[in-house]
Amino acid sequence: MKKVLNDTWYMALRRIRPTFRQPMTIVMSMVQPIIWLLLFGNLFKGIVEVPGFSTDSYVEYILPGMIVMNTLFIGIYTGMGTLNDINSGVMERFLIVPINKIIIILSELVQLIILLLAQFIIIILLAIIMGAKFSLNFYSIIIFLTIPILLGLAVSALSISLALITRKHEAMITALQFFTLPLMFLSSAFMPRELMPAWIRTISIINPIDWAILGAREVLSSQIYWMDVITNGTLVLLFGVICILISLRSFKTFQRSI
Amino acid sequence: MSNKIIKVSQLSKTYKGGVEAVKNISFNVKEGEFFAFLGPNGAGKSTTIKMLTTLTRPTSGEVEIAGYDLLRQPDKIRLKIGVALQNTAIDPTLTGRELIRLQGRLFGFSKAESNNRANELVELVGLTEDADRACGKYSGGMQRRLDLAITLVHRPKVLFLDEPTVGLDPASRIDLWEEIKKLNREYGTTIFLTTQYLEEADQVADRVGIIKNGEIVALENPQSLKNSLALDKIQMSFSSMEEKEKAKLAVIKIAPNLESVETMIKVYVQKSQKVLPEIIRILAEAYVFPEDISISSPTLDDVFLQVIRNKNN
Repeated sequence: MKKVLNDTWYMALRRIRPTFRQPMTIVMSMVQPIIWLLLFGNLFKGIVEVPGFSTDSYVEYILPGMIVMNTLFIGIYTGMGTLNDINSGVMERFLIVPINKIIIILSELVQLIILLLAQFIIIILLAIIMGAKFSLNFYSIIIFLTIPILLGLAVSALSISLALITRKHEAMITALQFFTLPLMFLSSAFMPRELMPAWIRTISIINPIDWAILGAREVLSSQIYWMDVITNGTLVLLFGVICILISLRSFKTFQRSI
Repeated sequence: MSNKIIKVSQLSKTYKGGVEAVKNISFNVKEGEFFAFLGPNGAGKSTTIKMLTTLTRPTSGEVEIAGYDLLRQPDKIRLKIGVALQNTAIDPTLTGRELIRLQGRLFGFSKAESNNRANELVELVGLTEDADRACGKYSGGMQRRLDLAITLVHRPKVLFLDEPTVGLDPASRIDLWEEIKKLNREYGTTIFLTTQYLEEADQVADRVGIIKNGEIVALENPQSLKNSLALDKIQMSFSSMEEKEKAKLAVIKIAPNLESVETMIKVYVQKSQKVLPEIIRILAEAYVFPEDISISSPTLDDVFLQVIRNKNN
């Protein structure tokens, strides 16, 4: 176990070091979520007037959705690193080194988590500036950040999986983009389930993105129904585990074909 | 105690879609041996190396490396082998030193050990000055040398090299060969190498295997391979076309494997030292005298071409 964690860290440093040598990319990736929050927060501001809306601040409402959306948009690109490794031949070297394959997956997630946490802080601060109010304590903030991150891990694992199977940038990104934005709108990110058309509501129930949003949003509410947090959190966790298993399986497919 | 460090028995690989890259090959490599695996492009060399190095699973067959079973103990094998594949495996965003250190850590070396090893290895492959530059900017030869250095971090007993000198300029090629020879001679590292530069394999390999269409068609030391398979060439030149024609008519009776180009005749024979006196005698009887006679022994290239062509069926 200790070796797994250590190896994961060494492998993760391989990604983190070069990223921090180019601070510009970090700055750029911080700007994007700010733009999303400003855009969506202002565009749909009027929605709170609709009867049945439980809060008067729309920014407060879409904060969890924005955090999750940001997670998705970053997570789907994890496979790019995998593809670069395949093309540069590094992947083959890592497959011959005596380490568990799961380390290759986990190491990609470390940088993702660091990046996401930095972005979450910026998004939350901006939301507060834009007038959102919520009472968070230490535990609720941990849970609030953990649930979207779990979803991010799931999406990243899928992205790695697609990279290993398709081995092409276009195929991988097209496949993932095809799902992300529609699934965002098929969730309660912008509109509560009660106000959705029936068919969208039905889809949102089986939409992992919505599990993450509902779980995170519940933590922000003034009266937390812990049952909702636990149910949605567990669903996201299960989804993440399944995605990582799929990703492990993809290594087998990849290795059979080289 | 057997000293066979690689044992391969009836190894096959069929890719999805039915391409049979390797068909039932069997061979052994002894500890400390320098084994060269030759074959035209697409013959199954790389696929064999990928199977032996635990990278891809065989469809069938058994392999034992350093006493461990390929399918059941791949991690044990990975500790014993060093692998440099055809494409260098280099993360262009990291420095040479960082890459060597990472490999050390993954093999369970401490931080200090990994650092020491990195210093030793950059020195060994002559990259000390460039060790702290991002290796994406290295030249092809430097990347090869770095790749070899990474491969050597854990002091492997067996080194697998898939066309290590391909794409290198002559000077870098010689350097790299010296490096590999040194590892074999001084450290007793078993070398399993594929190459297309046959004259290089001829000089250093203890044994040569030739693979064609997924099957091993020859497996011997370079000298006996040349003796048994390739023919000596006797080349004679004459003063005029008429002379040559006369000579040709005479020689063809005793050495039918003959080729004539302008005023020259090339005769291919099994044992030149036996046939040459006969040729001279028969030419003397016909009153033709060559201006020049030369004999050449076959090179491994000749053997290779012969093996590859002969069995074209």
